[in-house]
Amino acid sequence: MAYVIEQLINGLAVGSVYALIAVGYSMVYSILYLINFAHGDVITFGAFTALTMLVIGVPIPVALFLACVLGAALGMTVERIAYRPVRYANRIVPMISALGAGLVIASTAQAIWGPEVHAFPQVIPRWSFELFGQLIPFQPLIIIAIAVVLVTIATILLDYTRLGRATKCVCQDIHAAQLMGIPINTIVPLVYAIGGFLGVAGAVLYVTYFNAVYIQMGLLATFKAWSAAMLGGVGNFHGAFVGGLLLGIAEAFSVVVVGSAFKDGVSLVFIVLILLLKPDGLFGERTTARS
Amino acid sequence: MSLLEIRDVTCGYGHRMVIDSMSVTVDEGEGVSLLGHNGTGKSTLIRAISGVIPVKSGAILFEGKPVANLTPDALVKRGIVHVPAGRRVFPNMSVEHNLEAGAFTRTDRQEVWHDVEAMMERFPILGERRKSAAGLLSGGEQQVLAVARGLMARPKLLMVDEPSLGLSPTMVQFVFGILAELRKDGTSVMLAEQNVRKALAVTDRAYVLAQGRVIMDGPSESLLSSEAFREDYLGAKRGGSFGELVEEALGTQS
Ligand SMILES: Nc1ncnc2c1ncn2[C@@H]1O[C@H](COP(=O)(O)OP(=O)(O)O)[C@@H](O)[C@H]1O
Ligand SMILES: [Mg+2]
Repeated sequence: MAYVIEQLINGLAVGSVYALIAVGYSMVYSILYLINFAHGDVITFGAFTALTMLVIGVPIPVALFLACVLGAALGMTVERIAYRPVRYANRIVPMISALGAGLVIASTAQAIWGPEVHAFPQVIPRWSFELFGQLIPFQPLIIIAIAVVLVTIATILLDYTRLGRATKCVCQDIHAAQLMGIPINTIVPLVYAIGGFLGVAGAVLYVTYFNAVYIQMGLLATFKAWSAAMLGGVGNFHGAFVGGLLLGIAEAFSVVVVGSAFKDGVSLVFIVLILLLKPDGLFGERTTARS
Repeated sequence: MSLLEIRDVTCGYGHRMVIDSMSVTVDEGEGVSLLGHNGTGKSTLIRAISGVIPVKSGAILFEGKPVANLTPDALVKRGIVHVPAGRRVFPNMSVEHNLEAGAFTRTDRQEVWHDVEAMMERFPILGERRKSAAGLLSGGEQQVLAVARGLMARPKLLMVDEPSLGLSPTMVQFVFGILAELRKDGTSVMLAEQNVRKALAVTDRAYVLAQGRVIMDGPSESLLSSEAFREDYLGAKRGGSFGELVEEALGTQS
């Protein structure tokens, strides 16, 4: 029982990290119907930047916040340089230009920080405390709390502000949104900024939890987050969050059942199953029009 | 002075020009139809007016001022609103938030919700479903929502593209009834339609397009009495007087 609860907490923590990263994929996908291939590299860059700031002694909250802001700025830059000029081109074109942008960011990161795996400072202490005779780890709980707070703030901004609601319009139908007089060249970068901000927050929590940051983590995070986004229904903000949590729990328990060597395969199995059985995701809200 | 004056406009997609040096006007309070078969450029002209695609050459004047190649949001602010073909409501948003979205460019936030209420009263089929996701409405209800959403911007010119597309005959009737009411209230309307009878019944004048050019134009009544027009666009056998057509199109109540 104790082991189950511990796995559940760990699963939820990792899952909420996937969820934060998945939001960026999910929102961008709903506008362009394309995976933002640069997202994984943007968040890796953000995590490395956080590492450097922490090493030179910037206070933890400031360093983490600045890294997230950098993620937002990088996301917007990718949109401006790699996506906007080819927004109405054939789908393959923005895909390739995004892959290129990702490559540039990853290479820059490698030039600055090198190819090796770096340890990441413990920005959240690894204490534990006892509750009803059960040892509860402190760090995963904080990770879950941070993710919930960030997603709640993003939800409130999207649901209750004029710009937030305009953002939802753009995600649902960019052409119709344009006809409403919604300035899409303001909103679309905003979506990339939200994705970059939350994504770097997720990446920093990820490297804290696993105590390692390295260049290729963007790719792994991409698989996980993409699988989470699909699980919840791509384009669905809350679906991405719940999908992340489910994936985290599934991974945690797969360690028990099939061993940790196969843990990373779980997300791939999910992708295949979802594509086969329910392409709109568990919470796919693609409401189709009747006539 | 016309409300909208399109002077020798050429526009299209990329290097392919679809509209070839076209001139069209809409007067204040007037209803004007763009008629023509599928693919003749009706939607393309409307997209150029609403700033979605660039105008290659020629001029567009709105209230006497040049507006060609302004951004879509600038044009909405000036009062030109485009209700797109296929309705394009925001499927996962409620009816009332769709209406609110239509008023995005307005700065009088208080008045906006007042107008939302007014739309609910004016179109009870929306009022009854104000909280449901727009994607769950029927095609006809969505078309009414699309028009109401357009009106939320308080347009000086409402451009409606193919409102009859994909609707059942009853629903087409209903939607054109709404357009006729708008016209009575003095809203200036540009209407692109393939349903020629219905369109002529609710507009004062029409332009007939073929391959990106105007091949015929004039008051709705005189087009109807033109032999060539009747043969090509109404089917020679049918036709009848303008009054009969209005009655047929809008049902006996009007
Ligand atoms: N997005 C587009 N890109 C390229 N060509 C288009 C596009 N939309 C329409 N066209 C072409 O422009 C021509 C006119 O189309 P359209 O304006 O939609 O006609 P209508 O609305 O009268 O049916 C057609 O030949 C069509 O193939
Ligand atoms: Mg058309």
